[in-house]
Amino acid sequence: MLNITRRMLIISAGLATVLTAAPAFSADKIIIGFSQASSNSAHRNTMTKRNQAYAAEHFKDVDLLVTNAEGKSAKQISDVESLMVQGMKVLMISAQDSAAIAPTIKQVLAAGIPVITLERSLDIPVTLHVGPHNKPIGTLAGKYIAEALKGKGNVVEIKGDPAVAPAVERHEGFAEAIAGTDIKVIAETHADWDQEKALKFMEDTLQRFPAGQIQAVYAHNDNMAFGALRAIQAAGRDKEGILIIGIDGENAAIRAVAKGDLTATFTYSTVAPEGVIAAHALATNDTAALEKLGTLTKKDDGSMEIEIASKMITKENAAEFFCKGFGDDPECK
Amino acid sequence: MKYLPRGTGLAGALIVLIIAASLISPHFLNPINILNVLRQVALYGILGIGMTFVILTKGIDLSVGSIVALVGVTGAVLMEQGMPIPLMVLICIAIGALVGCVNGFGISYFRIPAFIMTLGCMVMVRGFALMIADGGTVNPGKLADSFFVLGGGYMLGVPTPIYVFAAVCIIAAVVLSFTQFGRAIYAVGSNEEAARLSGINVPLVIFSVYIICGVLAALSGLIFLSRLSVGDPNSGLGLELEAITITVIGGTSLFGGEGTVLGTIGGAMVLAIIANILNLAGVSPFSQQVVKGAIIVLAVLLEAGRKPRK
Repeated sequence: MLNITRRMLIISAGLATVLTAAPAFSADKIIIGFSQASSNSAHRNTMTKRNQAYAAEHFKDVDLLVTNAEGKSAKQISDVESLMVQGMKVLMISAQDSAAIAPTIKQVLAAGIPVITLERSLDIPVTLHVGPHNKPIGTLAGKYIAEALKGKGNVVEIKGDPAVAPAVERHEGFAEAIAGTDIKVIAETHADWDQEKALKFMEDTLQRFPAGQIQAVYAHNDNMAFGALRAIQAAGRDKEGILIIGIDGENAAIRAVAKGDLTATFTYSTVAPEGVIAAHALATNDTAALEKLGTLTKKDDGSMEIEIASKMITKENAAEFFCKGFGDDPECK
Repeated sequence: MKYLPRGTGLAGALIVLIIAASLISPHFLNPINILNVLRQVALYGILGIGMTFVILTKGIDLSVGSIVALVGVTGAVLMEQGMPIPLMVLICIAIGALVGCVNGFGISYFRIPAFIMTLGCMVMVRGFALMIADGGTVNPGKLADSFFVLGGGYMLGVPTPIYVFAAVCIIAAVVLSFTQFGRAIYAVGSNEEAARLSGINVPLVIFSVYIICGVLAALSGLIFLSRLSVGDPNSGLGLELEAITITVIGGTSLFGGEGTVLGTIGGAMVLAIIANILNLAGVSPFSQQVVKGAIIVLAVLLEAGRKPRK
């Protein structure tokens, strides 16, 4: 008897302490967990920072808890587990490895916590996926080049790392868009997103195809587009009007497009602030806010998806995008 | 084949490669293309020379690719903040020397295996580069002409990195062949115990070669920075393997005590010509890797066939 009374006392004392001393975690704050995969790219860092900044400014009712798995799936699993312990209402996750994290995500969903995947989708159904699609970006780039060259010309394609989906899909979309035209890919390589590798390949390719034989370069990211640009400038062939197309919409690339060094770039959304807006909408059942973010599709398995469309940046509209991309830009500070 | 002098296999492979390359593509012997190839030789060769010093002592340095990245982002940040170029260059070289010191100290005085010690530094230094750059590339703004010339410029119509590489090679060859320190490096690599008994300060020799390797990696990082004009913390991934490949193709023994600067230059040329001709011939990217790997094995086999089997 004594034992039970003592326990009751301790519990009620504990409850009282929690209710009075920890207002941050009481009912008036919504805890949103954000498990980020790594911090080794400007794209991911911008995703983290912009979502944090937006939440701090617009969602006073939200406590956004951010973890970073530093590229390790095992850490991401324990990150998510610790977020559950802290009582999150919604989980935003950018997965390091979609297969490795799946069992943990199933547990989160089973606990009744909605899960939003950002940029990278998982193989299992989750509540909502928000992100850009790579294939339509490749298609946009292909259509742009086909139109600019009036359906005829030679293109050099500098691809990303063949082991990951973005490189494969950015290629597929492009190939479909130029199918049936007289646009030919006359040289291609996998430069693995690396500027120096792209530069080296372009140097050799410029030797292989003398003046007038290359009309455009399609690079799977802006970094490699810069590599191609430097090779073209160094060879003194920047007067030939070779179109140089990149993808991602890095701040430095947007400047280069404005200057006319690069011809165009296509934005690859950092899902910020869309990620935290979607999380807040799910936590507060605000479906109207969700639909404003982009095209909302509902699938048969009950999951939803919002695609954030890519925007084309050319010389005409580049100024509107200054500092709105990601990555270092001395003029944005 | 027993009586053929050292390097015959490599020289043979180079000649065959050059003839094959000029037959495969009419553009290969174009002077601009040759300069492009030589610039590649220089970019990777500088790392190869540093690696040669280390491998001669039976060591290995896996941290060079990370040093290239760290120097790239540090240099870019310093330039962004308006630091004068000579001071920035000095700091970058000092960073390379410092990483070399850490490697050398652990390996020579604490007897940590070189593979493990430099692997640790490789990861750590890459981490520093990512920290400084906050994960993304660092854009220093427009490069000063005096710095741009280091990696992207020309002197008398020849790319500057080629001069830098030539200077590095001459100094390295002189040090290895004509100085006491050079002979000590070979002695330590062939037989550490014998070297110690003959009065050589073995730990000091080992310590020094890692500093040399670190400094050359920093120099290479500066050239990369000048060439790309941005600092990328993810650059130089796998460069350490490229440098080791160059050294080994060049006939330097992974078991220490045997190898020359001339061989390493040859090794760098083999790799650069292979990459160039595969691009000129328009070979598909996947088959490129297969061909590249096969030629590397073949070049080493040719050189090994020269030696009598023990």
